[in-house]
Amino acid sequence: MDAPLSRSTVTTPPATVLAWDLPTRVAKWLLAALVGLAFASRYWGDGGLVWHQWNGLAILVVLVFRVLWGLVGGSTARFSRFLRGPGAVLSYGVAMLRGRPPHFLGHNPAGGWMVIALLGVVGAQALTGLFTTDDIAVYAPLTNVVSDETMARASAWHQQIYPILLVLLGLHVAANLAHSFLGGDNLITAMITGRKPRGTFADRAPATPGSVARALGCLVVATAAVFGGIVLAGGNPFP
Amino acid sequence: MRLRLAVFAAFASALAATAVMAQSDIITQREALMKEFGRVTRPVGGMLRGGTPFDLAAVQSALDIYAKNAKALVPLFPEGSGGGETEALPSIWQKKAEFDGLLDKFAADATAARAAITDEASFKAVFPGVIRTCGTCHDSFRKKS
Ligand code: HEM
Ligand code: HEM
Repeated sequence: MDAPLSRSTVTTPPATVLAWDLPTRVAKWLLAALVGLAFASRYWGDGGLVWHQWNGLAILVVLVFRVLWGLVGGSTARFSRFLRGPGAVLSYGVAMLRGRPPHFLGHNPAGGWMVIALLGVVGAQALTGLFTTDDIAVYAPLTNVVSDETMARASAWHQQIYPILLVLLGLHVAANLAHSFLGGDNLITAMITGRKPRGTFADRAPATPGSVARALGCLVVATAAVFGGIVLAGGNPFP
Repeated sequence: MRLRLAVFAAFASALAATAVMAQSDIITQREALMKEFGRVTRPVGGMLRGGTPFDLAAVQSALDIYAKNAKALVPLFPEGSGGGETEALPSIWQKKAEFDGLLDKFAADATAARAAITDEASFKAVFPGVIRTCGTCHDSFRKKS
């Protein structure tokens, strides 16, 4: 046995490895908080839904950021790293049913597609929101550039998509709780601290982080895309 | 005998057809009045948010239309007019007194606001309370799309 002194002074490899870089974690928790606030602002916010609409625009910015970060961000955030074919998803599912799923540092093959589903459905909810009216006095930023029929259809979708979103969120939360507390792979802590205990992973470890400067660049592009896009389409981006 | 039956049948079906026509007619009428609510409220919504400049005359004519159409709407929801192309919910006829009460309140609020609103400040203070009834009623009596 080593003496405690030599243990703390000699370079032992750290007990944990990087799983998620800072921008990925901030985007993730920001999105979760903003989607929660989207419901709060609709049901308990101001009558003119000004808060709800600003909140929705913020969601769009975070979404565009996350898509950009999926292309140029840290290794575990990249779509090309975590999206695998149906074969990989199937064999992961089978391994899970047998109770011995391999551990992944980033998203497992099933979880990767859940991320896409969540981004897609939140995106659809937010995009339809841009064309939504309450038929009374609230008209979202892009309602003035479409026909009444399109506006009515988008408003209906805005009411029909969020129940799907709630179901997906339920599955997402349940799967993460199960992995963390039953599966011996604490995904929730990892998404907060960014680190996982050293171990055997099916994907490449440790993760390579994307730089904060690059993340700020993506944020600027995302903000310009959302607000500039609304202006270019002829809308008023300020609810 | 048979002739009399045939005449009776023809008469009855003609009657039924008119009833259906009258019903779709009544739905068109009440939807037109609601659409007019929507048309006059949209620009006023812009004034509330400050995006469009305040225009007292436009606000007053919107309030006049609220009072006029709300009164006209009361008889346009007779028992049995809940079928066909309508967004009216059956709850209207289960709680008819509450439904009519909302239309009466809406008309009364609009009339009171017509007198109370004299400038932008009184507009911003009073108007949101008037159109709150739109949402109250849609939440309980209009089909969600
Ligand atoms: C993921 C983001 C969003 C979520 C989760 C969300 C959620 C909701 C929900 C639950 C409702 C109530 C629907 C109902 O009454 O059944 C609503 C209504 C509304 N939303 Fe959103 N929304 C989002 C984004 C947006 C955006 C980006 C805008 C526009 C900038 C927007 C504009 C509206 C408007 C104008 C309404 C009123 C519709 C009504 O009252 O009938 N929303 N939203
Ligand atoms: C200024 C306030 C209001 C506005 C702007 C408004 C607007 C509208 C609009 C645009 C429609 C859709 C019409 C269509 O195209 O089919 C509608 C339908 C409807 N509204 Fe309102 N409304 C208001 C107040 C009210 C009130 C006070 C009530 C209840 C007492 C009410 C009950 C209904 C019902 C039941 C329908 C469905 C009618 C049908 O499809 O047969 N509304 N409203």
